[in-house]
Amino acid sequence: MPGEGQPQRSKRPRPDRPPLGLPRIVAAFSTLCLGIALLVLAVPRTVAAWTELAANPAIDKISYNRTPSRQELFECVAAYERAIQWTRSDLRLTNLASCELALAVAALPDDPERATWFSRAEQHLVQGLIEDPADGFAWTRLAVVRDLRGATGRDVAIALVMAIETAPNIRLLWSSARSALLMAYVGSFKLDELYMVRHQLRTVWSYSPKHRPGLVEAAHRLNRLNVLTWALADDKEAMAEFEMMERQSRFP
Amino acid sequence: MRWVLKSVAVAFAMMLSFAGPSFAQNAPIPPAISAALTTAIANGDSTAIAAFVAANPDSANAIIGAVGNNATLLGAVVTASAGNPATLTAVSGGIVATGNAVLIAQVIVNTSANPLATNALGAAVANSGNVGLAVQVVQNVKSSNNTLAVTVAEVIVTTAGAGTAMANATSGAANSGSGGQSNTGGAFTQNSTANNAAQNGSPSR
Repeated sequence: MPGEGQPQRSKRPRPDRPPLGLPRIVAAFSTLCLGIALLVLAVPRTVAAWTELAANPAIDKISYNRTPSRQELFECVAAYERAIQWTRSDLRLTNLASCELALAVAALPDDPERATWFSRAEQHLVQGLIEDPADGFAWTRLAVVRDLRGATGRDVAIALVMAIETAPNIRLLWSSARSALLMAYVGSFKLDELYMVRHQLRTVWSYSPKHRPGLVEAAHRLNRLNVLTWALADDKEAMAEFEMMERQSRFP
Repeated sequence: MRWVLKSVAVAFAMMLSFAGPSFAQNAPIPPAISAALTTAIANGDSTAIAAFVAANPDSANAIIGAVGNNATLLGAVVTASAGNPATLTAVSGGIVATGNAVLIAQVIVNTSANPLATNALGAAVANSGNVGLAVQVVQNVKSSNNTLAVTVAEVIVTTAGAGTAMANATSGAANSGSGGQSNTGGAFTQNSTANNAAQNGSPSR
């Protein structure tokens, strides 16, 4: 008989399964709930992260000071709007505002969509700042948006004060853009805020020589030389440097 | 009855505290400083005059009034008090309390190198609540310096609030005719903004 010479497998008695008691049911149910919770938490974030990948071309160009195409900007807006539907975050809102601002700036002055894009950019910046009020970049961008859409000087000044309160020493923000706005809206600051403005301008001048030409250029362009000289007046070295730049500059 | 009296007293105290500098600083010159103040004014000692105002803010209007219509000395007093916001506010309130639009405008022009002075004087004009005076001040400043007049109007708008009668009147006065130049909406050119605006707040923060 086939298999006759093979040793017979001994049939070990299988241990009896314990009965499906309440503790096991509870443990199984808890594990299932934990799994579902992990999925619920992870899936929206994952989908949002995948969705916003489509915005990268525009965002990268904006970050590196290159001009994205209109198509890239529209894709950026659509991608962030979808991503925000899955998971809302301050960075997504402010990045969405960046693309909307770029669309507004790219529109012709008489294009009715220009005002719409400015309005949307401001709205999303404010929403992003509600999520993270310590974002000095977003406050600065809000000041720029308000300046461009012709808001009241006080509205611009409020955003600028928050920008220099939340991020006084981030060098990326020491650009001539924020400093120019500080000088342009000098009449819209309250007295205590003006001391902060002076301190900020003096800090930029003292610690970042590469920004000095931009400060002088902005002061001339905005007819605000008095603001710059007032900010530097107590510092003899800074004033000497300023006067030397004035003598060598192309400005009248 | 007692609590009614207390309430009236509290209400009166609150009224005093909200009445603004021109009401609160109407006290006469203290006799103790009268002689020294006269000497300081005679010597054109702006630092001493500012110190008197700092020490006696309730008498700021009388102290500034004693200086008279000397715009140069008043400008120097404003500059000397610029390091202390409370004193600067009191001095500015005293100058505006003279009600002399030509003098106020002249002081604003004389101190235009210091934005603190411009803002303090502009705010004092707005706080006076006198629309006619505010318009006259802006017009007088405009006759010397268009850009400065726009800045003064901006300060008044900021203090009085956009859309108020004073804000509208002073903005109109600053921007009427030729040469008025508002900064609102004009800090950037279109080209610079395309890059600067978007890059400020770079997403790769």
